[in-house]
Amino acid sequence: MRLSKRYGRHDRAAVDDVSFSVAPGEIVGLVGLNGAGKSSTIRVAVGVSRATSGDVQVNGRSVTAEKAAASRDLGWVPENPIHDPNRRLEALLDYYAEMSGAPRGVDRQPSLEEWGILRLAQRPFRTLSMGERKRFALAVAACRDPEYYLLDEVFNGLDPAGIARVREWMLRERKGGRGLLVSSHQLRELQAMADRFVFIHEGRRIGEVAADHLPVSVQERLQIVFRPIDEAGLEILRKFGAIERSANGVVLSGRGFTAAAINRTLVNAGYEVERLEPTNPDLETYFLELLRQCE
Amino acid sequence: MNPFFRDLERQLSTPSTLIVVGLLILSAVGIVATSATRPSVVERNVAITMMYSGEFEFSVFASDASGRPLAGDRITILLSDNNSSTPVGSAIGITPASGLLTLDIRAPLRGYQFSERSSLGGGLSTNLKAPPPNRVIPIVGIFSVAERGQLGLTNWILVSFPAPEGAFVSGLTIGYFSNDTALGGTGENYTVDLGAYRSIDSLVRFTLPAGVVAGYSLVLYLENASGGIQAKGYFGLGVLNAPVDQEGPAANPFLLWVEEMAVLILMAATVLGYVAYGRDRISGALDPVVALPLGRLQVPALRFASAALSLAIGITVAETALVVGLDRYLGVTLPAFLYGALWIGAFGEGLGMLALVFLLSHVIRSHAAVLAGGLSLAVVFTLLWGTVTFQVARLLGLSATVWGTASWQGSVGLLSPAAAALNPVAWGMEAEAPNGSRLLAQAPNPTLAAVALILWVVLPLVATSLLVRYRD
Repeated sequence: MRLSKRYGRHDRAAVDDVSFSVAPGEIVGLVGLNGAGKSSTIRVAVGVSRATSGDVQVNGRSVTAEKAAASRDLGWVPENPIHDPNRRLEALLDYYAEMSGAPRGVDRQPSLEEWGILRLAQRPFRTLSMGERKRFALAVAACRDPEYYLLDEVFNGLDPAGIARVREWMLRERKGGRGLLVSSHQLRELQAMADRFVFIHEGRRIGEVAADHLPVSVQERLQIVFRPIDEAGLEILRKFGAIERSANGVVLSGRGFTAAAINRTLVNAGYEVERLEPTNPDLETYFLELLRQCE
Repeated sequence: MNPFFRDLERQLSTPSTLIVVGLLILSAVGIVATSATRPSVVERNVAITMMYSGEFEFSVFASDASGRPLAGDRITILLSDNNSSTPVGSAIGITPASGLLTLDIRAPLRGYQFSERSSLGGGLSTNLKAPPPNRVIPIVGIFSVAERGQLGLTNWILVSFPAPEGAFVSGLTIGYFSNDTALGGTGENYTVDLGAYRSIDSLVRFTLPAGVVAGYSLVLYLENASGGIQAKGYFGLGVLNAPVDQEGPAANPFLLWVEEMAVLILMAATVLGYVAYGRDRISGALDPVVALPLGRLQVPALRFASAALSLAIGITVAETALVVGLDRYLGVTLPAFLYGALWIGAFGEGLGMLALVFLLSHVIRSHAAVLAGGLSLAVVFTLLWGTVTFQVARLLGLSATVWGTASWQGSVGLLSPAAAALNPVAWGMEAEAPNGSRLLAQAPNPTLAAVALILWVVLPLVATSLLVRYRD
């Protein structure tokens, strides 16, 4: 709530009066350029950094005033997970779980197995690759079964299998009623999962949109492959919107047209339509449009 | 599981902690073992029994600071005329296993000078008045300088000289002189009126001007019951700037342990603080811990507690090595309060160093700088503390030193504030030593030291907690 974070007295605020919420059973995407304040926002939210002003409430508990109680419901995956480099993974996982109040002697192997790093259980953290570190950070965050997850660039460094695993896990957690705040530059991945997006630029919240509302917010794009591609055919399409040539066809951008209308017009004009493929209104376009409006 | 015990377990199972604590213990054992087997060469308790009955008979007993006989010490006695300094006779002998050597020199009846030299270093000389004819006047001097020390410009020595039968010690003068000036020259004399004591067992303290490189001498007055001076001895002693390794206290395992372990414990505390907190804090490995359901201040508090307990274990085992070593090598059992004061002092300073490293970890984001800074401060705090205390006290117009007697051999707190603050001598505690002799010791002003120690521990912790609360 009205969160601000300033690192030096005279420095620009890394987070400037940012407010948003994450509900149970919801995935919220946090979108911004490098240095926009996404990681700072998440670090303040999990209590690792202290807010210069404002506060974060977790189930009604203040991260500032009731840090221990509020953190009980939070699981954090940092952008660059750093742990004791010489500890073995299983011992580290034991440590984090038991420091959180978990009893001794609990078998941690299922947690490691879930993230595909059971074979690394006896390896020291320093020997892990970036992707393996991310998987371990996810295991650490999940071992306490918190109500909310804050995932910072969670897909970075993961291989395709890892990304698929994380995607499935996130959807499963959402279904289980967990709330997830996910910052990522991989907007297609984010778009495929998130229910809502919060956009941050230069520390400020510049917009928020529900995934359901994204299509009406941006131009529709249609990939059209027809034969023959000649100037008359292109002229027909220009009546519907702007066109640009692609490798084997045309991309039509605009508002208020339907694929059926385009298809009918081209066929009636004697063209053979091979493919009409709507291109989803993408998050990237929306975000870049927002940035343009800001500047 | 309780986070305190879990974090303690983590700290104790960290290889760096095990190595540091292991080195601390190894150093403690090594110091005791090497010092206990090293003979004390200068700090001999020289006992001279001189009897005149037509010839002078000298008995010399050479022993180390702990009273153990020193065998193989080549003793040279030279007797010369008191006025003309003409040599009258000499005798040379080597002390047997008992350390006791008797040498005879025939000489006519008049006053003489005698000097004694030892192959192990040091020596003793005196002027002797001629005793009355046909009368045996035993002049027995069991003379020792049991302790010697310096703090700033203040020097102190402890002398012991029992009077012979039929006589008593009436006075003692101590003077300093430059290396090329004899006693009574430009130096200043300090006279201690001892009254009719049967023996001297007294602390003599004197202050030298800055920059003076001087030796010191004792002039001892022996009188008989009628008040006539029977003997006046001049004892030329060591030079104040003599190398430390020739000093008696350095050969005392207890003092050596205290002096050398003082800096080692602080250096160990520096590394333990870095391992417990600084390393993770600087690298970012502390962040996942802070994100756990713990209070913001709870994390540094837990890490501080586990580092402190690691340090406590190290000090306890290291001091046990000292206790066992003293008992085994010297057969000496020192009072429990002394070990208690030593433990608390070392632990207190260790806590101070831990607190400083925690603070450094917050203001410096460099592994090397935190370690180097901590180790440098450890050396400064141990080696320069006495001087700093002294100068601060002088600036404030306070007494920099306190004096007292204690049963144990030496002082705990010459170098470090905590040991000084807890030094029983500083608080005037006194007891009989196991061998029956009383020793005296000096310590910096205990109140200043106590305040300094508290500030040393508390201020960095307060500063660290403020940074955690309001800056991170």
